[in-house]
Amino acid sequence: MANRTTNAKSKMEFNKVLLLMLILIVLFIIYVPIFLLILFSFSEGRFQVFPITGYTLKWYAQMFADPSFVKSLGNSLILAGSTSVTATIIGFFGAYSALRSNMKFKNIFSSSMLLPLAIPYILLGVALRIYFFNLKVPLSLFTVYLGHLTFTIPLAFLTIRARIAQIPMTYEEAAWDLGASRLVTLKEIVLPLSFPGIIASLLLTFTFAFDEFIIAYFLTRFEMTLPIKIWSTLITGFDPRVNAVGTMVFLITLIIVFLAQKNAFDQV
Amino acid sequence: MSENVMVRLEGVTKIFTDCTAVDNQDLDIYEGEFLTLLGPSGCGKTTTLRMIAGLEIPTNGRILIHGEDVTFNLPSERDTSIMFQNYALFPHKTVGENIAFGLKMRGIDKKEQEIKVREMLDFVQLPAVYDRKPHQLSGGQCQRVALARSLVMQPSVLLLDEPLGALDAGLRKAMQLELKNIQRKTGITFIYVTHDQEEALTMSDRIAVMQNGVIEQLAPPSVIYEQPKNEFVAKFVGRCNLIPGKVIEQENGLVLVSNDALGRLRAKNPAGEIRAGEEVKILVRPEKVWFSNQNNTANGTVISKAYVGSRVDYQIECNGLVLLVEADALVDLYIGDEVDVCWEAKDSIIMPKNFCNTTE
Repeated sequence: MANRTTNAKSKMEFNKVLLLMLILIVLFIIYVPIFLLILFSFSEGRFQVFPITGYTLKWYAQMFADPSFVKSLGNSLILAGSTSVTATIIGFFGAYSALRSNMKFKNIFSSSMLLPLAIPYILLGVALRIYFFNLKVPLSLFTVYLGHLTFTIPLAFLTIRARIAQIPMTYEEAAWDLGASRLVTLKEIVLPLSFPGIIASLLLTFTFAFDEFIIAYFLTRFEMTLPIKIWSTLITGFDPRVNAVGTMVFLITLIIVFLAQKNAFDQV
Repeated sequence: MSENVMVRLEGVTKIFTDCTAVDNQDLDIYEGEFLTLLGPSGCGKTTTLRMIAGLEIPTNGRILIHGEDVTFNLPSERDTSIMFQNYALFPHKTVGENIAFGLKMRGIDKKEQEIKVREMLDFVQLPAVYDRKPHQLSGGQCQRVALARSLVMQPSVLLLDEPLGALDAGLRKAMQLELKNIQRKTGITFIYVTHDQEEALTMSDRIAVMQNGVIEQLAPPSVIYEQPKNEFVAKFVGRCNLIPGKVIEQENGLVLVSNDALGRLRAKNPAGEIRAGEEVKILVRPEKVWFSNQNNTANGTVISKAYVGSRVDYQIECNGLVLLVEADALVDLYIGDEVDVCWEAKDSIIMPKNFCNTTE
């Protein structure tokens, strides 16, 4: 009897260890490449090989010395910033009307808001390129911005709708009853209460727009975003500066994700 | 209570996509009155309230407040204020900001807002919570704040949607008295929605008992309780014994009815005319029945006993008919005991069978 319990116990211990190992392997597979990227961004050698002979910041210095890198980083920040703000504003109103209006075809409206998420980026990119070409709109950062809105608006819509759905209708009804117009109610009640959703939407759409490559590649010519710059640097052979860029991008994304998480936890 | 009509519903109907919530309803509510809409959930009482508040627009009919047609007016354009069951206090605003919200919408300046809000908090006996957020308040406090937020607007009509539903029993009793006092002090017309018959009986000047979107009976509490118009009302406002029988004759305002189990019984007939031979039911409230052998007497056996504190509930079986008796706690009977039960003829009333669950 006692033997059997010990057996069961050791079996459970074994399972626990197995699970832990599995988790470690997954984390290892995910994070080792990123860790190597960061490590080699400080490596003196031109090639990514061990052993590392010395540590340096020269790739960072070279990157910042290259105006095209700085320019593309700036482009990407402007692009991601304006995309996230626009998508969040449109997403907010879309989400509010999808939940609160009593119009017909509300479900069709909601699903058509989400449809762009299901379309492959490459199709969106090609279609929009042809579309802009026929409309004689010159390709620029602005056309990338429009292209990015097609998939960031649904993201913003989803994020904010989940939040507004949690606000009881009676808050708004109470405000109307106390003399507030619909617009004032939106500003005084709905907006502050959906604030966590709005922040989450801003951060989420920012990272998506900041990282996006395919649509941006099809919709711009001379104004490069950072992913395009990295790609065009790499097709001509490996450039260690890319490690430095990658590390920076990782850092920016990490900060944003951290902010989003903190925002989410504060709500609990 | 003056006889001025404050709120008038004329043929108000509300049809939602799948059901008729309120069916062709006429109702006059007088100035300074405490009127309760009482009924089971889904009877249309809340919809009626929301239409008066302007949160729903009737499919048909008119709503008048102060004699003015407000059927299509926005909630903000009506001289009403509504209190929700969950209080709907704005969670991101302090108590002070919550109460001041309506004043702010009216464009009253900050200083005057604060003076009025503090006065109101004193009035609802919560002077110390001005800077707190709603989640720092207890249920009872939330309720008072919600009340203050409505009262500060000085509405002519206050609409209350089951405001005590979320409170525990003791607090609910205390708040019932307090709401009634506030209503008396302010003279505001209260329209109160509840499914709790005791609450309705305690507080109201008049009760409208509703079922399936229709008012079954509109009367003062004592009439609702003692002379319910039909079986639905009788059962909804309290426990009852309903004894079926056949009318034999009518004499001196009392009706003589024969029942298979109990023999001949006498009962009042507030409804008026009745024909001999008609199938009826006699309503006797359990607290009107006592153990003795006078008047309408029946002999039976105790089949169950339940101690309820202030009284004891007995079930007595008389020839197959089970009667519910609420007796004094001093009475001490045991299951299986033979007893005589009786009630006064004036405490029992006739309920024509064809009135059951129908509308006039």
